[in-house]
Amino acid sequence: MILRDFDEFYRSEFAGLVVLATGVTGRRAGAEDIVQEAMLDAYRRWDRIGCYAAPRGWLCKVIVQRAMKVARKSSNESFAQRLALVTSRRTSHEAEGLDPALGAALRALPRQQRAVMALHYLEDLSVADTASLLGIAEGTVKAHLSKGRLRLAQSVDRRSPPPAAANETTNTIDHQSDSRSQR
Amino acid sequence: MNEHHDDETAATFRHLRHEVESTVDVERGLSDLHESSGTRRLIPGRTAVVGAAAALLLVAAVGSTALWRSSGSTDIVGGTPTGAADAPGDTMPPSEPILCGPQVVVVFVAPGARKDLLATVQATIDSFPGIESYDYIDSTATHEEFQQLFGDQLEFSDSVGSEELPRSFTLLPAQPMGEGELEQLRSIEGVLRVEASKPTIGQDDRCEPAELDADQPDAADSATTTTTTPPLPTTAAPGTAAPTTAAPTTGAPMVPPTTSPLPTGIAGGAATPETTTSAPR
Repeated sequence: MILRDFDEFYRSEFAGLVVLATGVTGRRAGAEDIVQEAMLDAYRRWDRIGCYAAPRGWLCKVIVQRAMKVARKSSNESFAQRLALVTSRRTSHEAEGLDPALGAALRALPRQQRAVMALHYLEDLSVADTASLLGIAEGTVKAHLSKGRLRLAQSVDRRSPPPAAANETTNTIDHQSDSRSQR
Repeated sequence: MNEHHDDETAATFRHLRHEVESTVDVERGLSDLHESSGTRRLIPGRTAVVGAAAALLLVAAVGSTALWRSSGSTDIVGGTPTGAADAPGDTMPPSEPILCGPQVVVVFVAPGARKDLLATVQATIDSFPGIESYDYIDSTATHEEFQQLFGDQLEFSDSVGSEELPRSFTLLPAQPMGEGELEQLRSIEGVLRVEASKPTIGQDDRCEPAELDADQPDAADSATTTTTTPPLPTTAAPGTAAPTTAAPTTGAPMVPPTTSPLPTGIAGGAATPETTTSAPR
């Protein structure tokens, strides 16, 4: 049982987890806060979580739960909360960090479907693992994946395509698409 | 077909990863975490700041059109004390303010929005028949008011530049806007958020229901007294407050800032022609 170095773990995982939180909420704004709070929880329990075989899995679960809660609340946020979000420095900065068309396409998906898609495509979780993490049936995951792909493709088709630069970089970023397609 | 969609979806998420990862400041996050660990000082502190801002901004957003009432003997309409509140020495009761009044819609656009985006938003707003007036507030004006609002929190206010604040349009619709219209604004690329206040906030027995406003246009008029919105034709019914446009006379300052802070930008920082434009209709 080896206790990992927290800082090292943070540096290696933080950005990817922010991507996951963004994928689940469909918003860049607030994603860092969700991950930061989860990291803080992990930090306080690091003597235990740091010994897990896959601490990232624990964080993924916490982050997805929080992100889905945020996504559920966002439609009911008070006017004041939303105004404050817009004017907060980090949020306004982050808002620019996500292609508006991409954000809109993600937010067009139902909340659970978005979470399924994010876990599958960003975390490369299998159908079974996604179902386990979300506490839903595998059939539901498959249905969400099928419908989500279609809806996302339709949304993206209606909007501008991703920049070529992004496509070029993805070859190095995502090396898991082959294994995913085999599932 | 499925494979095609799978590839497209994978590409979309790769695009997302690229977009987000390139903007994450890991070292700053780690530094924040270490500072806040144990006491959670930073995160709640920031939340508290945002919360405080929220309360002020809500007041700012609807303040100029709001009907403020307190449970005491003071009634203030459109910023002008009326009735017993005019009595010398009558101070503001510390009761919780109740905001009532017509709907306010704020359309936030990205700080770096180009003119064509602003023109698109403006054209969309112009296409709505029920908008009484609207204001455009640019980042500079917003920043000035932001500084006023958070001037006592130097670390926070100094860390925010005008280029980071969104521009906004503040709309005053004659009738509450429909979800379709709001969605039409939201669907414009480059629009960050569209926020609509409820026609009546904090509604209770001290606050007339929104339906009454529709039946009694004069009541709504009395609350629609901004510096940029021309008063509507009024036929004040007996027992209702008359429209007021004058500045507060005596008594304690009921409305928070004299220059309305942040997104409304209805007063105050309208410094340059480009800064704030009012478009009464």
